This record gives sequence, C-alpha cells and structure tokens, in this order.
Amino acid sequence: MLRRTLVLTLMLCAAALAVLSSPAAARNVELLRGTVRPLSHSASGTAAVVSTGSGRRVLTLRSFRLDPGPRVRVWLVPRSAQGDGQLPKDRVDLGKLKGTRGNQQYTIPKSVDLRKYSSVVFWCVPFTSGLARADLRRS
Amino acid sequence: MSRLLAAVAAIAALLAVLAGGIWLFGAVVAGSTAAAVVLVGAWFAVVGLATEAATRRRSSLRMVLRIAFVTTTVVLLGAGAYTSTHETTVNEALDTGPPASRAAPAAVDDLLAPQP
Repeated sequence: MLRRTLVLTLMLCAAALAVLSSPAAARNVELLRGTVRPLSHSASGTAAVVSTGSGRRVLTLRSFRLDPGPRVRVWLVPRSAQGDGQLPKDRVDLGKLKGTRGNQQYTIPKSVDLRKYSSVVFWCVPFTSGLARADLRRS
Repeated sequence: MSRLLAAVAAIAALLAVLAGGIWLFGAVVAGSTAAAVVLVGAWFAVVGLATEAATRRRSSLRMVLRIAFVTTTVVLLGAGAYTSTHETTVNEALDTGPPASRAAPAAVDDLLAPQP
C-alpha cells in the first residue's frame, strides 16, 4: 500500500514538473507600454509589447480608436523618428491596420530589436502621413 | 476591330499613367500629406490636359478617354472618401502579462533584443 502511494506520488510530481518546465507554462511578460496619441487624426488607446510564454512577441492595442484613413499600416520606428509628416526610412512594418476600433494584436518578427524600435506609428500610405503614434516605455 | 483595340490600349495606358503618378507622387516623392494631395492633384490635371491635347484630332478616342478619366477620378475620390470615413471594429483576444518591472532587468533586455 505504501509502495503504491509512493509510486503514485512520484508519478504526480514528475507530471507536474513536466508541465511546469514546458514552454507553454512559461509566463507572459509585458515588456513595453505607451499611450496612443493623435498626430494628424484623432486617436486613443493603449499599446503594449507582450512576450508570450511560447516565445512570441506581440504588439497589443487595447481600447484602440483611430479616425479612419486609407491604407493604414502599423510600423515600429525608432523613438527619434518624427513619424508625423515625414516618411520614416528606418521602420518595421507589422502589417495593415486591422480595424479603427477595438482590441487587436500584431506579431513582431523575431529579428526586431525592441530596444531600438520602441515607437509605434500608424501610417497612411497614400497621404504619406502619420495618423497617430505611441511611444513605448518599459512596463 | 482595330478601333476597339486602340481604345482599350489607350484606356489601359491612361490608367497605368494615373496609377503610376499616384504611387510616385503620393507615396514616394511627397514628404507630407499636403504635398501628396497637391502633387497627385497636379498630376491628374497634367494627365487630363495632355489627354485632351493628344486626342484633339481623334474624336472617337477623345470621348472614350474622357469617360475613363472622369470615371477613374470619381472612383478614386469615392474610395478615398469611403476609407476616410468607414469605421471597422475588431475585438481580438489579447495576450497579457505582468509588467516587466517585476522581472530582472537583464531578462527584460534579453526579451527586447532580437530573438534566436
């Protein structure tokens, strides 16, 4: 009886260790955060960069709102980039803006150095204009 | 048949010239919103006038290209107005986590750096 209990306990401990050491069990961490502020369009919301337990890094936009514009892209740019009226040459394109309102997130490529690209710009391509931006700081 | 082909080719050329100008002046050359609007507007005016001049002695082509030019302008203005006023709402599930200030600074630096 004692032996059976011991074996069962060991098996449970091994299973718990396996789960805890798996990548999925690794915890998410919010690395950066900033407020979305308007440039040429009205905008609001919170932008954050989260490192997920699975090893991905994502840009999240919470309670986001931006006055619409044609062909809006989401770019990561260095903090020093103007981004309001001048086309930032040094940028990382995260893709087309999914929506002008609501919660949304974008995968950040692994090659991106977030110590350098720490601002988000919402860029209107046809009008060569930054609609809004968020400067991210360490959470 | 040759007239039809000529009309189709002329319309295709007109659209290509207009689209090329939008891309060149709106997205490449212009450094600001105002410059993009002015340059693209000027490009349309130049192309419109050039089309009129080029088809002065070809009345059959002239009307076809006028229609194509006006239709393109109206469609582009309409598309611009639509995308500038149309709201789209998304509600994705967001990844969240505790702030990095609770973690060791070195670990945070590793996560901010390019990932292997």
